Amino acid sequence: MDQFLLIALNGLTLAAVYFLVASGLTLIFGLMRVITMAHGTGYLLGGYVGYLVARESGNWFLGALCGALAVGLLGVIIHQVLIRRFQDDDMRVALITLGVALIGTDLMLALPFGSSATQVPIPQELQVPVALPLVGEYPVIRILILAAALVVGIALTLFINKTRVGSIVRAGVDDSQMTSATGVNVRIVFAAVFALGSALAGFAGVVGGTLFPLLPGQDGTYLLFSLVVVIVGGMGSVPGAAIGAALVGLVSQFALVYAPTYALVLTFALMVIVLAVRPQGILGRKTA
Amino acid sequence: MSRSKGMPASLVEPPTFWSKWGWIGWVVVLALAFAFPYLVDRPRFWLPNIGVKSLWLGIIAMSLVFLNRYVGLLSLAQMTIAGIAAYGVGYFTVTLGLPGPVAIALALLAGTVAGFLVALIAARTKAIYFLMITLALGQVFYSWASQAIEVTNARRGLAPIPRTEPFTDISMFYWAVLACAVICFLLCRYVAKSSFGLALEGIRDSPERMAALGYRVNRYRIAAITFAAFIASVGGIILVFDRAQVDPDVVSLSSTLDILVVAVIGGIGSLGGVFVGAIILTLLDNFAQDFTDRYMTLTGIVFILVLLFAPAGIAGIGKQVKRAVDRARSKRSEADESPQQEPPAEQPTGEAITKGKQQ
Amino acid sequence: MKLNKTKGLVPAIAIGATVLLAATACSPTSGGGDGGGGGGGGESDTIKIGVMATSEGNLAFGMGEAKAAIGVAMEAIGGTVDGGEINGKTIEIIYAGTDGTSGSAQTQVKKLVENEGVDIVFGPVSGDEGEAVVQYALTVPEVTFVNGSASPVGMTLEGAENFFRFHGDSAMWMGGLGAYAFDEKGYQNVYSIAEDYSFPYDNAGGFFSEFCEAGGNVTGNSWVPVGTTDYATIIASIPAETDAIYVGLGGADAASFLSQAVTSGLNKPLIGGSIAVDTTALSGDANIASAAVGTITGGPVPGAGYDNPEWQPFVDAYLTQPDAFPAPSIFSILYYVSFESLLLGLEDSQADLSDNHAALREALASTSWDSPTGKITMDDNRQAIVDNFLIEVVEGADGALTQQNISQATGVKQGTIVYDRFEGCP
Repeated sequence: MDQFLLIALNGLTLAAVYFLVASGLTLIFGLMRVITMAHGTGYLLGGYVGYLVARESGNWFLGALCGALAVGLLGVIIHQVLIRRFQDDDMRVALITLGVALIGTDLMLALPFGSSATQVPIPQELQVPVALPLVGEYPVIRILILAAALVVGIALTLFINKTRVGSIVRAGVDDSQMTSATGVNVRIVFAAVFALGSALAGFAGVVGGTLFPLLPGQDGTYLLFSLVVVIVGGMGSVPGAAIGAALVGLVSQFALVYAPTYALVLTFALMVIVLAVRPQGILGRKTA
Repeated sequence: MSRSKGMPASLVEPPTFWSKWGWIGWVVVLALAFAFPYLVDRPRFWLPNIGVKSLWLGIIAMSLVFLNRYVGLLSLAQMTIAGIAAYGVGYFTVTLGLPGPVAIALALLAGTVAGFLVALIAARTKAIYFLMITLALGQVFYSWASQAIEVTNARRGLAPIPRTEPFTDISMFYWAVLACAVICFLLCRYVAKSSFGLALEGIRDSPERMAALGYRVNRYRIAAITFAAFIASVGGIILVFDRAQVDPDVVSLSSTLDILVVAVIGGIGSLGGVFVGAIILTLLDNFAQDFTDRYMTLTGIVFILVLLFAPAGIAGIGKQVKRAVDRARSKRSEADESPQQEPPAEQPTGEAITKGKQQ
Repeated sequence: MKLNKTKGLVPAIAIGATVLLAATACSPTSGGGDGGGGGGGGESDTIKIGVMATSEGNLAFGMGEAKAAIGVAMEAIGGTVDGGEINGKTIEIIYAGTDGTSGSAQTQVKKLVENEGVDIVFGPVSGDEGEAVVQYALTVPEVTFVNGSASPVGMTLEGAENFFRFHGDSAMWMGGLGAYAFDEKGYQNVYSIAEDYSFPYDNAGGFFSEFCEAGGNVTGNSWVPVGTTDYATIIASIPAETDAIYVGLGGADAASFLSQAVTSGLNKPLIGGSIAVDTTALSGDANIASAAVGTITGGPVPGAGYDNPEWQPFVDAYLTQPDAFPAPSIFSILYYVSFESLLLGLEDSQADLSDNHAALREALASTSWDSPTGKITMDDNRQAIVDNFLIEVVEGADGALTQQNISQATGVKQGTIVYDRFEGCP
């Protein structure tokens, strides 16, 4: 039984990282109806920035902040220059952001540490296990990451559903012309949302880069996992991303124990099944 | 001037140089292609690295373009299907020891059936979802192929897969592949021109109307995807004989993206233009290193530029140039006449991707 | 509709054809009037060596390490990393970068042989590439191939008479460790975690065949997909009666495993595969000391305390090269001993490439010299017989982790088994 709980806890803590990176993607899609294939690149870039800053300053939180800001800023630039004109053409945006991802991957390889693995440093006191009831010794750092994801998730949901800004964003999605007719500058709203989604990817990169190594190829991996989570959970739904991430994390961990060679296959197969059965995802709304 | 009686003047385009003599261009291109082994001074490099590789890249990308143009679905699973056919040849020859032609036939079947299954899963989904589900399916297969040691020999792959006489001579192999490419191209054109193809275009433009007319929309989509899978399988079989082995990298994410890059640069609405895109990509793969280390960045930049400014790809450049020239000419002529005249309306090239049409 | 298509298409094909023809005309031309590989003639006074190394992907530093190694070897004979002279003949060195995949290797090796017309191919770095290059070597007997650092066992068992490997294969790299683990360290039950592809099969196979023969048991095998970064669940499922854990993971995955071992409080001793505790893993920023200290491993890279007089001059020369790491990596060491063996062979045969490189190949097949990592001699398959190093990871006074030499196995020969994924003992 404790083995089962341990694996479940592993799955949930892994899901925390997936949720953080996927939440940005689902926010952008839900509110702007575009998929950015450069999301994984944002993850890796945020991780690298966080690694550099944390290493120089010794402060993990500063690293996380800088990582998020850097990728958020980049997101604004990409949105304004490349995406804004074609916002209605989701295929074109997907392809353009794919080109951005190709460039980003290659440029990051050119960094001095870009071709080998790095990990964001954390204070030694956090690299210890703590005794949990029923489970035994469990790494503190994973519990902290789970807590961080919960905080971010709740904050996002509250922001979207309970604040005035959030309601403007939601209105802008449902009917952008009407919203701008009420005097709201929809263009700024969309740019801000894209920046927020990108910043979340950057933050996820620092968090994930603390637990797992950052190396070339992770951008592709995390893009794929974000897509899987968002599709399973439902596009545009933050609680859906949480559920999707939990499912993906649990499936991958249990598969690693009972069918290790097919762990990755089963994770992607989950997405295929959801798409075949309920194409809008578990908590997604049926789009027009 | 060919004008039917009673037809309004605005509907008849005056014949241009290309429309009258365009077929000569085809003949010249084909002649050049057949003469290619004699035109290069080092055929043992140019034929496999550039010639054959461009041809199978082009065939697989052509299947993607076919689906995009006539069905309106952008599929990232074409390389995976080609890979399944390639693995089929590998499995049937290396593991089971079947003779070549039998293995080829079975592999074609395997690839086409795989495409059929993909169609069953995904045919109902809309464009962006279809893109993502095909991407994910590709990754499922890649992960499975990297692990399934009994069937695919995991990461080691299946080798050697030799060519039989007379194809051991690289020129003979090249000509055979060129013939396959031409046949596949003609096949795609034929299907597109047939009533099946016209129905597909109707379904692409307005599925509800076609359904109301009594067409089984989904069946048409499934059939189209299966046909595209057949074409991609041909490409996959050529691939495996070109490389003499198959391994999971054939279906990796970067191989999948290669096909997309080829299609976009060559012209995502043009069945023939993809071969130009394939030639460019193989040239870059082979020679870009001589110029810069960061040639992937270069590829990405070209990719984005094409998407921003020339979404119909290289195949559409002719038209874009012509339109730009026309615009410049008309601007100059109206400056002569009167400043109040409006310039002729621009035709949007931006629909090339969503509508799958080459403008 | 037909009009629309041809309008845009023909100019496109015209552009494409023009591009292609221009490229054909402008491509770098090389010596040799008749197409095809260099080889047979040997009349010209230039010997071209084509070097393959990884310049993209997760081994992107491969090209830098290759150039450092070649630089050391060439500078010792008065040349540079781009060429030099032997016995009055000019040596020209051309570099081709790959991304570590077999497809990329096939493209580049064909380019080197067919387009650049090289006489000798040197490389590649990774195992997947190496197997593709050997298959290609079988089709061009007029070109000589010298391995870089690719280590799959099977490469020199294919019967390619023009293919030479001057270092051990991945099974040989564990030579001596299995017996050491059982006899000296007293480990009786070992759990195996390894990546699921050919290099760990050979590497783990080499360790476990020796370990099991000495009397040890295997308590379980976890073959994980490459790129697995989350080992928490695997760590949790290791049976309690395990004495030590074999970690057949590479670079980043190994570093990840080690840091997760620390955070989950795993305190069993570790046995590393040849790339599990190399400089990349040990010099990272993650806190892995408590897990890594005490790890034993084996490989071609000697640890601190190695007393070969040839070793330090090599290290000093390596550190003068551009972009050198703080210490030579496994790639630069293997590339150096291989390239130097090639240079020695060229010198011995007076750089005579006539008669299908007969003199050169005979010299290469009878190579015997004292390299910085021990004596190298050759067996009948053109595979080297080398020394192997057993290493333990220790913590220095300053807290830095270093590899310490514990013993050496001399004259390690290649076995004949090509390993595949195995359960329990191989």
